Amino acid sequence: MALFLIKYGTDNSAEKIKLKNTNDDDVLIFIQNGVYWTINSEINNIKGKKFTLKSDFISRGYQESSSLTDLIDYSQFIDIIEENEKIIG
Amino acid sequence: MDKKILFVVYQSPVGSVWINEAFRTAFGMYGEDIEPSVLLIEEASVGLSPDTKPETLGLLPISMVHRFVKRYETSVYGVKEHCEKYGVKNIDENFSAKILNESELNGFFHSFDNVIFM
Repeated sequence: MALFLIKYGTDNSAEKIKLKNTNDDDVLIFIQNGVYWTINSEINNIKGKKFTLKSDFISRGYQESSSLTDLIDYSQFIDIIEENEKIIG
Repeated sequence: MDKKILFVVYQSPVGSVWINEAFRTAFGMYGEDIEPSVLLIEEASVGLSPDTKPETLGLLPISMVHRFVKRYETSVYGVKEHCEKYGVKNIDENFSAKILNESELNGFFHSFDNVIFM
């Protein structure tokens, strides 16, 4: 079980490799330009429990209602990081 | 027990300094109860080739890391499919690199305490 931090957009080769290698018991948090992965339904094919940082999502012009993953705030973000020992970022 | 950390370099060795930086960071971790490893993927795969010479453009040579890789016995890895994709014909023996299949990456990533893409 590991926490994946996704911070670059859909054309980044590193994020593609990460997202091809997640497991069902992993946690994924999409931050910064990583939120662009979460705006189309392909996100549902990626294994793991998925979260998106709300402020990064909204600041890029998206509505909360259009999010395809759970939206979290900064304090929840920190809590999740502290809960996970293995981090792939 | 040593903490296992993997540095994953995915950017080209010519035009970016990340391969040298990954090794420099890894070497700096010895003596800290940390066992660093380095994996070169995607465009960074060409850094495994003895023919790759950024110094011809006045950039940092990759060969400068070789003696430290030997001294510290740093584990270096590549990915077979990426080496093929970027035309890496042979691997510089100074790295003693182990070549993984892309299908092994899932278990490989999860075997480290921390994985840092750079």
